[in-house]
Amino acid sequence: MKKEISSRQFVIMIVISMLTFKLTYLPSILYSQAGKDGLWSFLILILADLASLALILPVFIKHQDVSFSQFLEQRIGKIASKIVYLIFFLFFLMKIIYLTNVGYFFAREAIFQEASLILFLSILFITINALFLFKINSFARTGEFFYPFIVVMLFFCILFGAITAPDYGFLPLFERGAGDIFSASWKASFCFGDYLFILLFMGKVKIDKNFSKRLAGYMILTIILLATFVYVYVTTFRYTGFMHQPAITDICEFVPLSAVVENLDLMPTTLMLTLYLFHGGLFMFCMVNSLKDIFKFKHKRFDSRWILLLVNIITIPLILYVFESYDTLIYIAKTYFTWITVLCAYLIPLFCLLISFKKVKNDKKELQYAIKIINGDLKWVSLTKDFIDRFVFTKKIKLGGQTS
Amino acid sequence: MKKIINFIYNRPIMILIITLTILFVPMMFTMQPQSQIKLIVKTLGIDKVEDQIEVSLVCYQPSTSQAYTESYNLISAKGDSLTEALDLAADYMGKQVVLGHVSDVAVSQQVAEENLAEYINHLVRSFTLNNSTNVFITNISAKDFLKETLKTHGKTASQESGLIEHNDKYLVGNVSNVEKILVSVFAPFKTTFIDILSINSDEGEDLSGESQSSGSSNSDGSSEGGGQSGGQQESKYLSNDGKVAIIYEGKMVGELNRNEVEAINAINSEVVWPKLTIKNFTDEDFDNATIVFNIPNKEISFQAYFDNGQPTIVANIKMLVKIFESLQTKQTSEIYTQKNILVTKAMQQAISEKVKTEFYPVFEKLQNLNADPFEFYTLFHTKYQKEFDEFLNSLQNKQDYMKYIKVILQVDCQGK
Repeated sequence: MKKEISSRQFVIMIVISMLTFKLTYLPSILYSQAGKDGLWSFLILILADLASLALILPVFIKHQDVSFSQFLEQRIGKIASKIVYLIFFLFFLMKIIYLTNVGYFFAREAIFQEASLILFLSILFITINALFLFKINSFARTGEFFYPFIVVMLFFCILFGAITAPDYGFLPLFERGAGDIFSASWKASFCFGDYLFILLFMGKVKIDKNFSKRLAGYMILTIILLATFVYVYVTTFRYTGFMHQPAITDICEFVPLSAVVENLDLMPTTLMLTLYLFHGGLFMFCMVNSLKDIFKFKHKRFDSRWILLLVNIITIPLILYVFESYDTLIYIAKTYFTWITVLCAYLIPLFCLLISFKKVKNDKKELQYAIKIINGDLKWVSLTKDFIDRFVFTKKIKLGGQTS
Repeated sequence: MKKIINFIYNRPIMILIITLTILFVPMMFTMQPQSQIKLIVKTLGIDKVEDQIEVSLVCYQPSTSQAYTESYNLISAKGDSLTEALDLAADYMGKQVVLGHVSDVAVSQQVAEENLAEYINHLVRSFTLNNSTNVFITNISAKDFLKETLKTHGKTASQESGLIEHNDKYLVGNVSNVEKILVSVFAPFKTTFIDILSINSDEGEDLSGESQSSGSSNSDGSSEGGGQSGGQQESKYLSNDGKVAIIYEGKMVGELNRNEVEAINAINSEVVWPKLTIKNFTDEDFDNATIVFNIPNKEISFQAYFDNGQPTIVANIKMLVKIFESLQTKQTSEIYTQKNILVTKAMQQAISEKVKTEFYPVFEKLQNLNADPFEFYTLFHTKYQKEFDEFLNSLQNKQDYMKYIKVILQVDCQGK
């Protein structure tokens, strides 16, 4: 298994995935259910998300040398594995539909009110397709490069909001009851659960000894930024939060110099568009890999690009013709996506954690031997059966069976 | 050909560039410039004329010029609804109205009294008007106001923003914007102040436009008139005299003049460098003098409690005062030597009395209107949630709570 992503790059991918859905629309959805106490709902959701991460990480770290497909197939067999991949595909399909729609409505509010959905789709999908085609290590490097800019932009958006926006205070605590707070958490849960993508990166990350510390550090920073952002939002829009859907742009609107406001809008807009593109690329990667593992084409002609095309063919018409209305999407999200998110984000990691304890046939017993050509010398090397299947198949064509 | 296709197929960046080029470059050549199809509005005026709504738009007029000058047109149109009026204005100009760049909204007093929030809410929802957009009320029709100011401010069209921001900082201590109006509808205290800008014939900034080279003020197709029609015209002045409208539940219910605003601002620490005048002051240094004090620092703390079931607030006002000006017939050397001018006990007493005597009548006026601009509701709700809810439930009309709140001022001024 080739490990293409460094531990730092992967940590950055995780923390960027935490940001996208939390900076727009989510605060307004939480506010609609729980008023300013939506902050508690938000913290509950963050904790729930961390619980999901706590289920995923042990599996991810313990089985860092095998891919997710190998992990599953060794334990539950091929058919059951394909069902899991299908669930993954549907989960990320749901996520990309939501991302595209909120991205489009955000872009319309913040940039161009008359932009058509097809224009936004063409920009988003061309870019996220390209991000996929550039291979995962390039994608990870892109995230690594943009991460400092994202953090700085987010920090300044929060700072401008905290300094310039009106502050109506947060006290008294718990104006709303627990019912409202938990109801808000439930209805907004479809904005969470993104850690599931980590499983699909099993075997692709070089996990070093600082991985856990680094992850904890980056996540603490991100959670502090997010919690501060939601706090500034609810104290600024304590009475009007339901009407401030593009949250991040709205908290930056109160800079006293009115001439600056239009230019300042660029910062949250750039931040959000960067996040939508990056997160879209991540979802695209997850969808393509899920489908790839379902079909497992071995012929070299059916490479990822065809699967990518298939994903586009499935996704774009759905967005264009089924989920094109924001109100419909939010209704569907609050009603159905919540269930899908909760089932996928908690049951699958729990299931994976449980089956990770299952004893599989010792890998060494499964090892077979093959000849590897190193600097012209033939050497016996031990390889897994799965690897040999792929290796022999592809090399046979090239070498005319010399390896057998 | 196969080689070229393979070359492209194996290089995703080529696929990206080619797709983007095919999709967007031809579109770029066929698109009209935005300035030709969009009507960029800088200031919006709303009036009620009989049963119709009249909008007046100060719009950016794109022109080719080597000098850094901007010119603006005034377009007005009437309709049964705000949408209809805006559509008609757009039709007059053959462009689509864009309100994303609006920096000020002027509304006539009649509109403000009917339902200011309703119009503002529509603009926010349908035209994505920024929540920080300034709002002010005019003493004449918004259209006439904009027409007059455009003669002088035609090159900037944002002079009003400067006035509103100035008022926020130095006069009223309260932001006068869209968000505040919406808060006045949805917050439990339901109150805010919105600035009133006046045009009168006495004093203020001369709007005759005689000293201006060109204001680029035109009118709509219905020949409303943009320039001077000749003959002797009465001088008009833009006067920002610190008046504010009291907005309750999104409607204007009353107004405060400058003196009243200054009086009620005794419990507002947001105003920068306020001043305070005491008249007919006599002590060993002063004889029947008028003394103007500057207040470089003012700290206010509220102590809320229930006194026999009555919500009571003690406002502790700590002021650092400085003698800024003194007017009296007899001048002494002590007065002219800065270090010797002390704020004596007598002065402190006079200041304290002045603050109190001026504050209570204005506070009573606000109480009668149920207006709670300093958010006393939040103060009690934060500290005594249960007791305050019980108090509210004991009232026949919960909205009358302000009438039962007692405010006690404690003024402590020091300085020299």
